[in-house]
Amino acid sequence: MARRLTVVLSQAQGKHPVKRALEESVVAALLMEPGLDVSVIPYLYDLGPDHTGRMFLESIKGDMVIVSWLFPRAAFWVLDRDGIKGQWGESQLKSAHADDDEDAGEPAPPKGIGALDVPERHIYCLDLRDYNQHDPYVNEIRRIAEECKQRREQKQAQRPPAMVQLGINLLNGDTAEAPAKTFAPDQLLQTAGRRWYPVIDYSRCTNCMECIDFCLFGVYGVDGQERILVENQDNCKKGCPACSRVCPEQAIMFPDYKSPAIAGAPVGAIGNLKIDLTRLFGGADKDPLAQAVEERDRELVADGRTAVGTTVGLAKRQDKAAPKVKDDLDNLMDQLDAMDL
Amino acid sequence: MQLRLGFTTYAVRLMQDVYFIDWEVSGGDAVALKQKVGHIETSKAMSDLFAPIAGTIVQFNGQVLNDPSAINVDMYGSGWLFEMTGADAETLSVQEYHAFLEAGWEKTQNMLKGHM
Repeated sequence: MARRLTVVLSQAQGKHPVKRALEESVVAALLMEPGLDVSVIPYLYDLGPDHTGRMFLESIKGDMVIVSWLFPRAAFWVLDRDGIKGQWGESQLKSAHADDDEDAGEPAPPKGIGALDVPERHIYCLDLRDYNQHDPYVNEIRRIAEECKQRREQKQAQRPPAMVQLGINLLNGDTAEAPAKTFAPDQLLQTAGRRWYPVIDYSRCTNCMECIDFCLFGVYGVDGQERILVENQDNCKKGCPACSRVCPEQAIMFPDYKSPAIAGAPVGAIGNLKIDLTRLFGGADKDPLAQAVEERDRELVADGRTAVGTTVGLAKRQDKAAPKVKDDLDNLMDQLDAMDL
Repeated sequence: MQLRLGFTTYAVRLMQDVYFIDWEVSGGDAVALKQKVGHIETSKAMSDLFAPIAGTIVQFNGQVLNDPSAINVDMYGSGWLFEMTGADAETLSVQEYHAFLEAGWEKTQNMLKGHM
């Protein structure tokens, strides 16, 4: 039962010749590999719900590799928002320029609320900005294909043996993994208009709702289980990353924003992108909140609305409040908790 | 008072090899405190550059424009950036500068690690 691994390459926006050349050489090399289904779609972040590329992604049920010009976190959570869910596939691809000392200490265990209804399949996201030739990508995809195969075999081995009755076509979960539909390559590559919207990393999001309070453009909403959701993506104001600065967990990404931290770079590893020292070197040392308020006011005014400054939607953070000495009422309330009424 | 300005060792350690430096104002221009005067790109970083005091730019170090390596090897000597006139009352002493770096170290680390 040789299952094939789906590899989807998401092109860069525009027609940058160097980027196109890399994309083409990666695809050409992957087509020579056995056991892979390779497809090309436009820039993942721009795909609206009606785009064929997105429907194609939705039709993929098994393990998948996304190769794109996005930070892996950004690509993964864009897909999650589109309902294309899976387990995070850990890529061993490291940026060629990344410092070796990036792993100073293990990352803290995630305290985010996580994604819901995640199927067992894995989604691996590779960043095309990491290398400028195809070999590292091809090697990594080979490794991933092997990893997926071993995982499947392990699962198979753990499964109790099925009783096969003659004459009965054994329908198990695997049938769903057959390619449902075929999509013509030119349909997949239909141009997609540029979009701009926040993407939530639910492995970091704590559902604190600061973003929904802060954004005055109705971008955020909650789902049936009161979980924060980027509900009206296209209400978002192009170029404005204000909510991302307000988020206490840095869980909100704008994949097209110029600063890597907001675009979804892993913390501590900004790869070959340069650090912007402007703030250290005497540039306006605005704290993120002040910057966010300014950005929001700019968009409000551009919409013909009134700037609100810091008066609306800023959480009073508990941990910033000075600790107060407990008075009798506080003590009484604490005792009530302990009384187990 | 005429002052000659340049990077500190600390700044150079953060930036590492300077590739390129560019000025947006010319000798003789008046500049305001913290006005943006130029831009630098290095192997590790890039940054806008700002006037540390209000005053008038006298001249830029032309040698550094052509070959910025002096900034790395001799930042307190031939690697100076520009000269300007103005009052230096608002600038920090060496001890104050060290204390300033110390006080901001945690924030700096967060920034370098990519937090906002």
